[in-house]
Amino acid sequence: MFRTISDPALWLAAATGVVAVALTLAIALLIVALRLQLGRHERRWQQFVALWRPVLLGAMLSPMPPQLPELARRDQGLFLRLWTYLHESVRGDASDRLNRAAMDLSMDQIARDFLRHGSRTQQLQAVLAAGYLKDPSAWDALLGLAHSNDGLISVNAARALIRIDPLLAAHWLMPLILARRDWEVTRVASFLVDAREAFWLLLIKSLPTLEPRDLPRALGLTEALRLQLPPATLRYLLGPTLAADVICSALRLVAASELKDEVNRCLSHPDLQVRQQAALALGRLGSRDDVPRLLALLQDAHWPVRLAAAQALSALPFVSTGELVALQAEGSAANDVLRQVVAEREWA
Amino acid sequence: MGVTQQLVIHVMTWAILAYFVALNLGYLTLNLLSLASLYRGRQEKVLEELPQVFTGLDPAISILVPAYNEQAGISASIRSMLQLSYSEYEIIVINDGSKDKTLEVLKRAFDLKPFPEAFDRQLETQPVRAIYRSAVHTNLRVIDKLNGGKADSLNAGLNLARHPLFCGVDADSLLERDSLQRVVRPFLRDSRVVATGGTVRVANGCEIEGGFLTRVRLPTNVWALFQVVEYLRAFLFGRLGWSQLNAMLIISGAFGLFKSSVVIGAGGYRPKTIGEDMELVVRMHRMLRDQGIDYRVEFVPEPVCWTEAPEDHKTLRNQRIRWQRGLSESLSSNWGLMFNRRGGPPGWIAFPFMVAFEWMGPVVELCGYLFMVFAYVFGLVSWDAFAVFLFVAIGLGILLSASGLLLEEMAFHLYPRISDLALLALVVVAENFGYRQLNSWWRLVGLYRWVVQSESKWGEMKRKGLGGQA
Repeated sequence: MFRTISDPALWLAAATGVVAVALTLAIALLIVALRLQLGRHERRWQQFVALWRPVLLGAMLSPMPPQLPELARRDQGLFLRLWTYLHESVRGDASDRLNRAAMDLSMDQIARDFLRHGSRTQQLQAVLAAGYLKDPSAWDALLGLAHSNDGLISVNAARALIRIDPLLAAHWLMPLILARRDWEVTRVASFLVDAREAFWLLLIKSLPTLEPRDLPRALGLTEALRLQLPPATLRYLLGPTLAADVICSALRLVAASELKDEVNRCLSHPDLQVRQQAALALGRLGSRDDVPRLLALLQDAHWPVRLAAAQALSALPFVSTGELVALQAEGSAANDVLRQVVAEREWA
Repeated sequence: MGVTQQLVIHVMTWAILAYFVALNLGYLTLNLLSLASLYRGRQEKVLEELPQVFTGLDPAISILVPAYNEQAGISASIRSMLQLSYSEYEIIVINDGSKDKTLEVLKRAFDLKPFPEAFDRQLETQPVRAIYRSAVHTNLRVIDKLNGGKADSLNAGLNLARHPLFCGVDADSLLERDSLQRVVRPFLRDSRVVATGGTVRVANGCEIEGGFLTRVRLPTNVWALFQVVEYLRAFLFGRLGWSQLNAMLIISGAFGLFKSSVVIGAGGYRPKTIGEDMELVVRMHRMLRDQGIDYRVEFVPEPVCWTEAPEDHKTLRNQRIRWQRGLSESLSSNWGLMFNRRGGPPGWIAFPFMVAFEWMGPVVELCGYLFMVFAYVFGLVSWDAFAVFLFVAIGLGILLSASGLLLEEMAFHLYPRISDLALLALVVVAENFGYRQLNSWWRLVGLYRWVVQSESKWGEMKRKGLGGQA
């Protein structure tokens, strides 16, 4: 029984141990190689930055065409890295001058090559560069990448397209913007700012025809971009047949008193979040006549609704602190929330 | 030796070898998954380097900081949390009936005033004595409550939290300034995400200024050094690997971000548990799987949180015993996930793996060592077999630790000096000669304590303090 190393099981175990040791040694060598490579890359980057950063900063500031040193082929990636970094923090003339410097070095052509044949890192660099350069020749390649399954590349390609032509891009990208769950709403909203009007027009047109599952995302973008929807569209979105999350999103967008009937109807909605949002909406557009409705909501069975009702009452400019204190003195289920909003007024 | 004896020895030897091979193959698979994930992350560095702009649209976060007898470091910790770079967040400190002056220190440092805050008691907790707001920091509130343990404190914080996401943070953790930005990213990218965990690293030996870590250094204490390698292994290929399978069962209590509504829906943290962090995540998996909800639990490999590791044998031993008890509680109270029809990767891969290799691991490992020693002493196996057994066990152990170091070097290379790398390489080898076996023993004690005890208290740790937290 396992007497000698010639036993097959023991031999197998020994071989496993030898492989483990060999792999450990290989890992050790790899770590050393990685560290040496990192050092080389770091030194090369520092040298590149020392040469090119002053050149590009000078190009940004001067209206005259810049005198650019020759760019080695192997430094193209480094150039894009530095150039993109600078671009991310500038606007206006400085941005145009940075573009001119890049064009002088044929970076538009290089970016287009990277878009088509580059590694994933190069593609990402090229997508950013093509957007900053507003290069219409890169349009088709970018549109193709916007449809790719790679979430990061596709969303950045969409951003680049918006930079190149906001109107046309909004038109082409609208279905993707609403459907791609892997494009974060905040990121999309941040670059859609450049195509706000175009997106607004397309959105109003498409909202009534959207699938119910796409509506919360569309309304989330509307809220993020602080767009105002026409009362007729909002009236549709506040319809009792729509899902509670859609109605909640729509209630957050209500800013016109002509929708008060719809808002009032939502005060008795079976979903507590709808009632909560309806109360907050009344706090924005309510009048004296709405106070009894909010008082009724103070007795709601659900605490978040009672809190929203108290906050809405407190938000109405014509409801005095004295009135809130009197309500609190009456004693009810809403005592705690009324005490809080009174304290908040005093704290402020 | 009789035939039966021979057969027993034969079966035992094969079983132990098979167990070790399965264990290490499992870890190597996780390692490969992590490698692929980090490689992809490297490609995206080009975007990470760009100046980060706040859109003002990121979801607001409530940071919950449970505190028990933390008078020494609580104000420095909160001050550093107040400087985190994130668009909108609030901090809720929960003083869990501290016996020292934690509350007085907080009142003085942040000009706290009592405030009649209303809150929804969605989760049952020990009675709240008072709620305070800071007159100088509008996003800081303090709950003073009767003692009920860490889970109870987190539940009290959750009752008061206003934001859709909450982040549980240990009072003694040091956070990276951009930690919230990093852990929130998966939530922004994918609406199915319900929780994210960040990498926790050992802060011992590092330089700290103004509540933030300014320079990464290795500790000089040997216990802490061993833990540096352990943390690399646990986080970089353990959790990252499981995250690729959407089967991560642990999010460290030191730093994790959760969707508030999902946690409240799951009943919050389970009071009177030791491993409340793991128990919650396992329960969330079980409940969401049962409900057929499409969800994700993700891991963020970048170092976002630094913690002080124990530097003495006794404290480390107690910590490991508590961890094993916590693991035992988490698994035993969510047994329904194991091979559940709807369990998916958490129920069919991660849970059984945890049971076989993390929960029962110390038993099998120590039995294996004892058996081989016994068998060798009584001449049941040859010196060759004994030596080969040790060679494989230690060789694979070193390989796994070395691969953790490789992942760190590939993705983060936080330890800048070659001498640091050399020291870590030495530790990778050295920890397999005594430290790992000691750990297994402590975990075995933890298992025993779990079987015979039910009481749970705040984990008390002897601290040297993370220097310079002015």
